[in-house]
Amino acid sequence: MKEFKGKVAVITGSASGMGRAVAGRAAKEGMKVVLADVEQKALDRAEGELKAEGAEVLAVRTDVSKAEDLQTLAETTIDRFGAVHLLHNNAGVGGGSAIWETSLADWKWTLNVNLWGPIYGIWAFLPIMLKQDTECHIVNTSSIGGLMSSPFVGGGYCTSKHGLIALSETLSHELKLMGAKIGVSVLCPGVVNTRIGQAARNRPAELQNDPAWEEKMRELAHIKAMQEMTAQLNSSGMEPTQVAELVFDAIKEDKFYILTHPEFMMTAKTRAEEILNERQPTSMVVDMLFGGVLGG
Amino acid sequence: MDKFKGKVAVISGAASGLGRALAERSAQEGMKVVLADIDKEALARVEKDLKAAGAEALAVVTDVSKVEDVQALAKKTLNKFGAVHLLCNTAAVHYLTPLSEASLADWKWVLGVNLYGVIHSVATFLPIMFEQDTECHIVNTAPVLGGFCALPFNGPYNVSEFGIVTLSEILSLELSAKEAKIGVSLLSPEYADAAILDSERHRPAELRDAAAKESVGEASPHFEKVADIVRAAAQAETSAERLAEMVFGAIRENKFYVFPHPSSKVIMRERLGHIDQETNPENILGLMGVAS
Repeated sequence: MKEFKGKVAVITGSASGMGRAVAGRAAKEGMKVVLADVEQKALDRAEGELKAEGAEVLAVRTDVSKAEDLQTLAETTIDRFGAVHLLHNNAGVGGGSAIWETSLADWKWTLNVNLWGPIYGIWAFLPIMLKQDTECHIVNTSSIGGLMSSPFVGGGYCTSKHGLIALSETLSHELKLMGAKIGVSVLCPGVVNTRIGQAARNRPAELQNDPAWEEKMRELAHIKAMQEMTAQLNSSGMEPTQVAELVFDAIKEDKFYILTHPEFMMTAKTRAEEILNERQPTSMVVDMLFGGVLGG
Repeated sequence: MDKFKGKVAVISGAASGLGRALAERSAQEGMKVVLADIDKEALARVEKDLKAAGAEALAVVTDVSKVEDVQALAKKTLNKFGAVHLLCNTAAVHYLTPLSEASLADWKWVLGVNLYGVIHSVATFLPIMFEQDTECHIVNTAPVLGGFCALPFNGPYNVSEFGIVTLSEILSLELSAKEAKIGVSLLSPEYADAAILDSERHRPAELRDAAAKESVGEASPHFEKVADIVRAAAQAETSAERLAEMVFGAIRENKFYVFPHPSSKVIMRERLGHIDQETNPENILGLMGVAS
């Protein structure tokens, strides 16, 4: 997709972080923008800001972990703007530590938002795009964690992000084979200055951890260390507006993999070598955080 | 883990194919075998055969997509044998569909059994293994075409298998950081196990689609081609007995990756190269035999 003016962009998780930046960029390109986010206040704020800049904007409160919300989002988009050209499945959360420190509620919450969100997004929007038969593009926000296996970040995080890589590659292959006019990109950010570290603010009541479990996890030294390291990395990370620029470049060039931090790809390369040579998996994170050994 | 005699193996998907072969192999090694499968009749037959061959076996009808079923499986295992040492997450289903036609029921079914099955199993058995503090091993399975490369029209299956690959890698990394006595292996044959290609008959009624699906777009001659490739490859697949033998070799040596088909690495290498070079992975289709 090379022309954006007057076209319609739908972005989930667009009240803050990378989604907000992509929405701002879409508006600058002259697109009509559909903002979707679970956080009402932040959504209202983003809507007001974009309207003040003169953009045509529709805000739809959306919990991407609910299929019916995505269906409503698609219907509302078509009712209002009559078409959809860019879908960015971006909403994402993280939670948990080692796999045995990841509760079933952690698993559910992370997979519901990060993996089922884009599945529902494609389920709701892909048939519309195919029927439209105009130039379209779908972007899924995975992570650099979708290309390597990172320990101690919550089992659900990498599992969902690797799943999104699979979903995106499959989608790209199928649309090529079908001769469809829909491009696909998968965004694999490294560290970006967003609020994903505080994602728990939007965690639904029914998927809260047992307070005793939560307390126990908070006390574990390696979890604290990991959270501190992540927070520090993110706060000094790339600005979301720079990510939005890379996203739009990729859409224009129909580029599939969008890597924000090529310098982190050494770890993905190491993983590739371990796979191809059938060596035991290793991780820099383990060496960095724990000096190799963890207490009980 | 290099001694098996008298130890306890729990194998999901044990009523057919790879799961059954792993169960038989466990029995031959002198292990007590817990057979779990959703197919009650086939499970009873395997149990009978194993017992006839002199093995101690327990059959538990289990739908791994339900965490209560997996918890009940663990409880029955401990009640009967008092421990668990080897856990093989083999239960899986397979369903080809274009993403543009995949229903939510398709997604729920495939991810429910394949991905959540492993999540439920690890979440349930890992604390038991920690408590036991004896040598243990966990074996997960995800084929190369599915777990490392995205075969088109195989969307829900690809998503589940990519997930299993990273979950297994992370589990191995974290357990070795903890210096736990639990090893992990990942068996990755080239394609899905032939025994699961007709898994549609095990799909629960509530996850069957009521209406025939509306076909959108040009769902393409390529779909049939992929279906043929999968069927042909599954038939030509290495015998389940040989895969089971390789798995036991890997458990003995505590080897993580098990690739029975070295030729499948050609596609993997190509895909990983595309990621490294940030180039679009189109020519993968040719390597997979889907397009020229």
